[in-house]
Formats: sequence, C-alpha cells, structure tokens
Amino acid sequence: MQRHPVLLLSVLMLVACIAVGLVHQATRERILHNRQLAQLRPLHQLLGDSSLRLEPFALPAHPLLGPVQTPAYRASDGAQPLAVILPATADGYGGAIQLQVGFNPDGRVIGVRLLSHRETPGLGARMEVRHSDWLRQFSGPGPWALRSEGGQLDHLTGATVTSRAVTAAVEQARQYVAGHVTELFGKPKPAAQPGESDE
Amino acid sequence: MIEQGSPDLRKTKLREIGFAGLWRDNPALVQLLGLCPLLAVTDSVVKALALGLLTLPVLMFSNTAAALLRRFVPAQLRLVLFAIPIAALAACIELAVQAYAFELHLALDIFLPLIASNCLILARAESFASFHSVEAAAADGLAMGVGALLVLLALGGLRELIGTGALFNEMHLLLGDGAQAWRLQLFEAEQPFLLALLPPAGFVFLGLLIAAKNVIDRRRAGASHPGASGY
Repeated sequence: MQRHPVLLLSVLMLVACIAVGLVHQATRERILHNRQLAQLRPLHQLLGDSSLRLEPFALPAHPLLGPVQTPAYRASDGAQPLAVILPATADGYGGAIQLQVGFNPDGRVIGVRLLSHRETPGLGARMEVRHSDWLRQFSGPGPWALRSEGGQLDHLTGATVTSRAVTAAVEQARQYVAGHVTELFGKPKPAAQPGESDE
Repeated sequence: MIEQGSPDLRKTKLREIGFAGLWRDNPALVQLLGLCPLLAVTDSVVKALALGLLTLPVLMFSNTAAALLRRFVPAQLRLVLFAIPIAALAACIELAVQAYAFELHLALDIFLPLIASNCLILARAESFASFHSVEAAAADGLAMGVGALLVLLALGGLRELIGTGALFNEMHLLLGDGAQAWRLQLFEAEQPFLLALLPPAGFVFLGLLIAAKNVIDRRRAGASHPGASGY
C-alpha cells in the first residue's frame, strides 16, 4: 500500500468521516438541548425560579423600548404567564448598553441583567454584578429615578452618565409594561407573587 | 524491537518508556511540548485534570494508529496521514463533552477542539510511534499522557491554591454533582490573587517546576555525572 498513499488516505478519511458522523448523530440532540438550557439559565437566574417555562415572543417596536436586539421572553408555569423579560437599551457613556429587565404581572421589576456594554473599566463598568451590587437595586415597583433626581437609587460613583442611562432605560421599560399589561400577560392579574421578587 | 525480546527485556523496555514519559523526557518539563493548552487551562485543578484526561486517550490512540500504519505510509506523508485519525478522535471527544458535560465544554472553550493540534500528539506519533511496535507505542502514549497530566495537575493545583486560596473548585464540572463537596478552602483570600490566575503565571510556575526537576535530577546524578540533568 506504500505505493498507493492516495488509497490509504481515502480509506482513512472515509473511516474518520463515518466515525465523526456517527458520534455527531448520537450526540446532536443532547448538545442542542444543552445549548438551549445554557441560554435560558441566566434568564432563570434573573427570575429566581428555574422551573418556569420560558418562551421567546415577538415584541412590536415601541419608542419606550428603543431598538430591540434581543428577543423578549414570557415565563409561565405552564398555565399562565408569571413574568416577562424585556430587552432594554440604555444610551451609556461608551455607546449602547444592552439590558434585560424581568417584570412581574403587576409591573414590579424582578431584576435587571446586563448583556453588553462598553463603559469605562473602573467607572461605568463597575455596574457589572461581579463588581458591585448596583444593578440589584432594581427590584420593586418603581418608578425608577436617581436620588439626585428625586428618586430612590444611589448612582454609581464616578459614573453619573451610566447610572442615569441605565435608570432611564429601566424606567422606560417599566412604563411600557404598565401600559401593555394585557398584551404582555393576557388578562390582568393584580395579585403579586411574594417571594418571586427575591433573587 | 520489543516483540522479539525475552519477557525480561520487554519489561525493561516498558519500564524505560514509562520512566521517560513520566520523568526523564517529560513532555511538559523537558520536551516543552503542548505548552499552549498547558498554560491556558491550568488556572484550576478541574480544567487541568479534564484536559489531561481527555488528551491521554487521544495520545494513546494516535500512537497506536501511527504504529499500526507505519509500514504502509511513506515518510513524506506521515504527518498528513496521522493527522486524520487524531483530528477525528478529537472531534468525537469534543462532541461527547458537549453532550455529557456541557459546562466543562464552556470552561475548556477552544482548548478542547485544539487537542487535535496539540503538538505533543503529533510529535510522539512522528518521532516515536512510527519507529516502534504497537505495544511500545501505546505504552509511550500512556506514559507521555500521564506525564503531561501530572504536570497539568501540579500547575493547576499551585495556581488555583495561590490564586484563590482553595483547591478543587467546581470539580462537579468533571465528576458530577457529588464532587461539589470536594472543595478545600485552605486559606481565606479577601480577593483572588489575579496574577496567579492569569496566563503569564503559567509560565512562571512552569519555570519553577522545571527548575525543581533539574535540581532533583542533579542531586540524583550526584558528582559522578555532572551535567546529567541535561537542560
């Protein structure tokens, strides 16, 4: 066979392709499932309940939400929606800050998750959860405003622009939810779910 | 050739191969092969152990395949031909890890598929397995793989301990949820010592390990063989 390396090469390639193909077939579904879980896990963490079913849904464009770049999610226990997660865009110091905001059916904010930003390291970037608890302030009914503007939120030291932008984005999303409860949750559902607002 | 020797000679050869892989020609400390993944994944024990354990079967397999194929392969085509089974097995392993240990796949990131291009694997196939029997080649793969694994573990342990004050963080990524309790907090670090966790520290700690090996070799060699420690 030393005289016919092409033959050997072809046989080897064939065997290798079959092997990889078989393994791919055998693992494809599990891998897809794992990927989906990995995408949803942070959303479950945001809502504080990993048993909820999350389904993406299309959100019509609306000036209060800014440019929509990530899908919105509706979380349900199978029967009725218990929360929605809306995308929000803040106009930060270094450009757009992408956020996801979780809401209860009564319009309370469950939590805010930072998706991406280009804020200054050490200043605006300290809003990242691993650096500070600043984003955790967003939990409750709102309305959201910085203390300096008559609200209840401390701003991030040295990052007034970032703080103001994120606060405004969350507040706008809250206003959107307040005006679209029926569209987002189906029928109005006044009772809050105690405990769900906890991390 | 091993298969022609007496059982005693065969044993001696195998012992020789084992000693070479684990110590004398240790892939990480002496041959300095496969350093890129070595430095990149050794910021924790679990990642180091996982990559070491996953590289080991590829190394044994590629050595075996190379020894099997050596009679049929013209010298110029060796590298190309050996690369095929290596890449195929590495691809299969990556798929399996994605399917059964997805978080481990996220932690190892690009270094999992890069097993295919680990130069240690090609080097052993090319420089050892293609001149030896299947048995010797498989033994060499095992010895070199374990040798690399031990260095990975030592580096991972050192860096994780110095960086975070704990050992065996997140072992459940590799060994299932039962291993979550393995975490050992040896001292409390107020903040992680980042330098130990960042890639450059890999070089520093690897250098220290190499220095330690050289010191031990020199002691063992004694005065009768000055310079026996080689490098």
